[in-house]
Amino acid sequence: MSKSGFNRRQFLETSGRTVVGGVATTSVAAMIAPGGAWAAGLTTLDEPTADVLLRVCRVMFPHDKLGDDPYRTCVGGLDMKAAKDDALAKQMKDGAAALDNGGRKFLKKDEAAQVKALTAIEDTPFFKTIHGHVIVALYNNPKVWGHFGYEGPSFPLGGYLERGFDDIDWLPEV
Amino acid sequence: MTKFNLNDDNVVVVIGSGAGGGTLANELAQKGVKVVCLEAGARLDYTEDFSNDEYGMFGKISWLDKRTTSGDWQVAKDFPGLPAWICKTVGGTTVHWAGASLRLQEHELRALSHYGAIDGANLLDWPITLSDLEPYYAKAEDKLGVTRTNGIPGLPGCNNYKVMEAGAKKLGYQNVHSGRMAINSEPRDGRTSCRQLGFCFQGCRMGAKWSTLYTEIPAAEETGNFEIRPLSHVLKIEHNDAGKVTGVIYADKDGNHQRQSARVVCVAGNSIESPRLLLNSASNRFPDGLANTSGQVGRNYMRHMTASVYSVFDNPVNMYRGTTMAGIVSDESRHDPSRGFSGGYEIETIAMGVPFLAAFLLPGTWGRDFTSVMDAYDHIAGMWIVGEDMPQESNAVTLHAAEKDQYGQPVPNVHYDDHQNDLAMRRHGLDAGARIHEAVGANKVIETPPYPSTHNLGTNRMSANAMDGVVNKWGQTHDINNLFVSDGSQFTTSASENPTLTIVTLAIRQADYIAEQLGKGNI
Ligand SMILES: Cc1cc2nc3c(=O)[nH]c(=O)nc-3n(C[C@H](O)[C@H](O)[C@H](O)COP(=O)(O)OP(=O)(O)OC[C@H]3O[C@@H](n4cnc5c(N)ncnc54)[C@H](O)[C@@H]3O)c2cc1C
Ligand code: SF4
Repeated sequence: MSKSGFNRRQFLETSGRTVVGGVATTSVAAMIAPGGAWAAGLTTLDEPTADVLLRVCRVMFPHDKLGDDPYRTCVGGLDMKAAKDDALAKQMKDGAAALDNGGRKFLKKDEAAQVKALTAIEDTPFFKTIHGHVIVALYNNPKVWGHFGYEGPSFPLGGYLERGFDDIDWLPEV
Repeated sequence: MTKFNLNDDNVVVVIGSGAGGGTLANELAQKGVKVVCLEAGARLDYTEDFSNDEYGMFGKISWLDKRTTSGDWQVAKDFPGLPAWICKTVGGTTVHWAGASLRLQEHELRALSHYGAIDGANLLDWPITLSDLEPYYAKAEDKLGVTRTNGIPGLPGCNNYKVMEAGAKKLGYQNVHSGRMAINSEPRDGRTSCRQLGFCFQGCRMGAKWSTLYTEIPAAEETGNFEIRPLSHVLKIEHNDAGKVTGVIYADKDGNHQRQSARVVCVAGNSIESPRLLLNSASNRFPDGLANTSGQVGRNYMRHMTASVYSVFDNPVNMYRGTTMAGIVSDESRHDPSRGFSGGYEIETIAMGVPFLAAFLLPGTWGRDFTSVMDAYDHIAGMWIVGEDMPQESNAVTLHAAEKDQYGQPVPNVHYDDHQNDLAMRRHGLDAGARIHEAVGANKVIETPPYPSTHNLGTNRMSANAMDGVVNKWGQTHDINNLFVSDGSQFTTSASENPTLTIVTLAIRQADYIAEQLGKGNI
């Protein structure tokens, strides 16, 4: 398994952001037409960059049963950060362009080749920025929780006391 | 609400409102001692401000001031700026804690004489014995409403616990149960019982789990002898020519500096901030920091040997339903050098939601190996191993030479190298955890590295001899008789148990001593 630093800055950035994150996530999602192109538009990143980033997000964290929407939400979050951070915008644009260098389009490669291309850059700031962002933006999105069988906040439903906290039925008798 | 004057030099100032500070403050107030508690964090209302949101609550109540790390521990690589998972809020880390409440064992308080000297370890016996602590443990268990004590029933076992229990019993482990928990299994002390929400680490929205936020603090307020000042970050402890402490300087909510006079000062900021404050209080008379004649302030930092095992099963587990720390296997918590290490460890369940599991499972990883585990999220069971780590003089909280915090004070650097004993114990614990899960059919076992430290200990340790440590058996500093340490930084050694019950126990005992010494006019 490959490694990149999930550092405090990213952790704080992301955890700080998600205090208001419920709002951010949904507004980004609303901005993007389901299953389509970057319909309502990107604020800062250009479409070719966003297309490469979308694929990078999925190759980094491939969940075949998830459609593109949660990954688009991740890219939308990067776009929103880039709007306030020129250095990040440049990092994303340059990083995506570099993946396309040598005339071999990243998007045209098969997954194995894409994994290889990402492995080659996994120590770069470009990779680490995306990794630190997506590990939060993807898994902290309530819309994906159902896929994982995670039920999320339980207080509003009275906890799990009467809703299966001890319903496991396949363990051997001891 | 009672308010004390800034010039009132008759008050005891307690710094921090967590397990140690919150308890000490209330115990003193109950005895009629006037107390001002200064707390860096904000005061929240658990019925309004707590939510079942892992990142949201982390962002709201964690201590996020700048800190740096060094040393060969994995945390310095995975979370270089977040050495510890500690709270900055009224209630301190008792807001985030899981509630496991265990007594230390007799031999653990005599680590040096029982284990013998260990190369590279700064082992020492505690200056107190288990029989000194027993009456106070009893009071602490009653205060916290610990299950399986005082006739309080154990909590029912959740799915995650049942997996661990079945595996452990199959392997022949004997001491397996749903834990001694400071979580109400039935209504008690004006608080309701646990509804198995599964968000204990986010602050208990039911108030079923003991936290000083809604137990000790309001109880102290009712006495009329107590004032808590939230958003009050203590910067420096001052002393007079006689070498006695006289008050503290703190930044109030607007960042203005205030000075609160004090007859006695008790430091309970947890094991990173407490030594940092003593070091930052250096003066002409005490150039190496307050109470630091021994040179031990900040040293012997311990964080427990930890790691986690998460395993994937063929059938659903739904580990997130129910108490986070839902049970324990205690058989490995013994000193048995034939295992290749000294001291022991506990095995306890742990569970996380999808957001935190993704962040902590294998920090920094990506690709299908990682996502295939996440895809099986509802088929995963989890457990945490937590054991005694060795005190090492070079494992230390020190002041950073260049980096400053928002108040212009040097930030703390936390240095930690794993000791050979820690590494051998971690290997043994991970193997034991894997065997437990495999005994009931785990088809994949993941070894998760340590989280940022939740148990921070030892940086102002207790010692019989003034040159070996910072405080005596009452938590009173060897150097300054009206300066006390009242949190986990007093621990001489870490033992294998989760530390909070012992922190509370020491605070109750210290309150008796301080009240007595005040009464006699000794301090
Ligand atoms: C996720 C998690 C789970 C845990 N589970 C368990 C468990 O099951 N069992 C167990 O025994 N322990 C557990 N712990 C550990 C437990 O929370 C701590 O051991 C305990 O709270 C430490 O008590 P303390 O008094 O030393 O410090 P804290 O409770 O951290 O309190 C310190 C307080 O001091 C304040 N402070 C610091 N510096 C200053 C300053 N300069 N000025 C003013 N205020 C200041 C802080 O804001 C904080 O409120 C857990 C911890 C975490 C994070
Ligand atoms: S599981 Fe119980 S203790 Fe934990 S948060 Fe829920 S009600 Fe509180």
